[in-house]
Amino acid sequence: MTQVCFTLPNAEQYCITIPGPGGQGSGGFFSAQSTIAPSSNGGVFALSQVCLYPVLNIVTGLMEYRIFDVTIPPNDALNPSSYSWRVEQLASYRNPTVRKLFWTYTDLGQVTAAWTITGTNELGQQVPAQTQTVTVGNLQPTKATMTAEVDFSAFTAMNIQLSVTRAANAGPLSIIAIDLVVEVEDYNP
Amino acid sequence: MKTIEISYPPANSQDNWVYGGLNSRTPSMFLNPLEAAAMSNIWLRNQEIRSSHPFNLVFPGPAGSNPSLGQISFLDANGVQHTCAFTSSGLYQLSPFNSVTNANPWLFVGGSVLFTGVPVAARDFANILYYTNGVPYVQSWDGISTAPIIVSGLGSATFGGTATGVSTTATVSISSGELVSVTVLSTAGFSANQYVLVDTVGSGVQEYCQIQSITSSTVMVLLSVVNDHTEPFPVAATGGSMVGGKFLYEINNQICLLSVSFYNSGAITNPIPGTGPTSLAAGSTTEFPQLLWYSANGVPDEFDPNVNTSAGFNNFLDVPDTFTGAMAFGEVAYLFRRNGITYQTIGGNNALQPFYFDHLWSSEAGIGNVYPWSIAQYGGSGFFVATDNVYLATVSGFTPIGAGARDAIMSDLSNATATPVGSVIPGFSSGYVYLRYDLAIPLGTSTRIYSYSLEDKNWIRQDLANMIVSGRPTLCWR
Repeated sequence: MTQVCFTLPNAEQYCITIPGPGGQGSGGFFSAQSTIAPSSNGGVFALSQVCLYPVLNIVTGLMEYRIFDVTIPPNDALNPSSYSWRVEQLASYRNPTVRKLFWTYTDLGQVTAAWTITGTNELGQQVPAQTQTVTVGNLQPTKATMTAEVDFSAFTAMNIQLSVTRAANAGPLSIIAIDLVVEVEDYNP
Repeated sequence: MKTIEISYPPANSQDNWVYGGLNSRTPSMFLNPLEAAAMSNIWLRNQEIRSSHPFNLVFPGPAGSNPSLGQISFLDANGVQHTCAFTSSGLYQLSPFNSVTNANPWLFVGGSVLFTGVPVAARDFANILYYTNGVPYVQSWDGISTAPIIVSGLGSATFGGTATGVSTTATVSISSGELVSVTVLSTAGFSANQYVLVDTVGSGVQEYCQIQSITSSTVMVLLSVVNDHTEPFPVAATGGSMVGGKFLYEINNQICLLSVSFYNSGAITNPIPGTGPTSLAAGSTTEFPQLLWYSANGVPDEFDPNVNTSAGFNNFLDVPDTFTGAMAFGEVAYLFRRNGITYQTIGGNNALQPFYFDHLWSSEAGIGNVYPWSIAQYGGSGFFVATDNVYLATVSGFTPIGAGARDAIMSDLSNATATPVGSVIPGFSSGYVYLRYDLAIPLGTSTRIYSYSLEDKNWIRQDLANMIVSGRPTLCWR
């Protein structure tokens, strides 16, 4: 902040204040004062706010300030993502079969996601899990709502659980809705 | 055979549904379809599951590998914003041209040494920044002066302030460092552990240092010298007694210090009635973890009750534990102990009894704040971690919020390898609102962050490999 002062013919002194870094000064108006306020020692322009995380980088041994950068798509190049839904028990004493799911998402860019289904059988054993890796989305994100079909090869088990993983730097993952298509045998004891 | 669809979110969800977040506590079969049995690096916002945004480098640390102890933005009297960072070496500020790459954006402002590994408690009061972190003094910087100053001196004889006046002159220049030998005209009258004022008169660089040892009649070793000093410069024990603390907050236009560190320059007897050593030798630093010390009303740089009667202290000898943090809500404040909470209100008589105190409970075990830096506040809402749960605090009471993530949080807290820190984050940049409480737990070479959305009331979990969060995240101007 800078003050420029001058004297009028009637000997009265006027000053104009010019805002400095920070942009929030009271500058721009004339005031009848004869002293100059001390200027600030540094400061920032205060054009934007960021949430600063002070972190020690184990790789370099140096302190850093990091941010979750929300100005770019959610594609973390260093850390993978994962999400698991609940275990589904559709009908007692039956082994449902999953053949496909429909994945509705926002097109934030191209992403590769691995969809995994796990389950068990009535012998108390894990059924070998099945994973389908698919790539969807456009390199130039459209922000449009899109739906993709993910096919499984007849996964039959009890206690079905769906999960999704995205490797580090595999693209921005979005999930608006999931529809898991399941066939259940009729039960006639 | 019949075909059915399992939908997430369920087809019959109401319009205003929200994700339930992480629930690793309930058997997966019993979860709500909107809950997650497990997750990592997922954000739940605006009814959508998304991978978390990149955790990108924006600035280097101010001092190499020296841990950052926190950061804050404040507005000075000229209307200029300053973004400051703290390390054990003192105070830094962000340069106005911080978006220029390949340059360290931090400028060293100065100040006296701070403890390593203890997050700084700081706040802006009347356009002046006040801060401390367990050292026996409070420093302030107005954003205009060359360097911070110590504002919590105790000048009266009761606190040992008058038994000073010894000074000497250094005969060689010194550089900053952890242990610095200073050759002086005479060490007579100085003693180990004493705080001295080191003052390069020409440049105005002034700092308090502690004498580590006196090695001869002309050499003293100073601990943690922050600045370079050019001879001849005076070394003086004229700073007198001082007070600081681990936690700092404001209520009733008074700066309050909790878990107090007290330094007495001269020998004194029974400075804090009813507690601690009855006699303190000259140059002693004493911890009073049950003590609250407050500045004079409207005079945040006067802490001596013998000078201004609205300053003073209150020693909570009737509770079995020590203070671990504070939250101020206008005219009231919660003072947290490990197993209890004390309610502070304005008493109405600033000169004699500015505050009333009410222990909500003072039992051997109870709801309190276990992790001193897990406390975080956003307006009328605050968060803290007790032994049994994570709590949301408001003026009207306390609500447990750990829900399905509670056991995972408690398990990780018990395995923390460095200080867990909490912070409330209103948003991640201008225009991106995601109001949440972040609890960062260092685990070996990584940090796990549990985040609670105030809007959706759910928890998410993030894992940051090869990163240790060392201080509270803060929304700052740049």
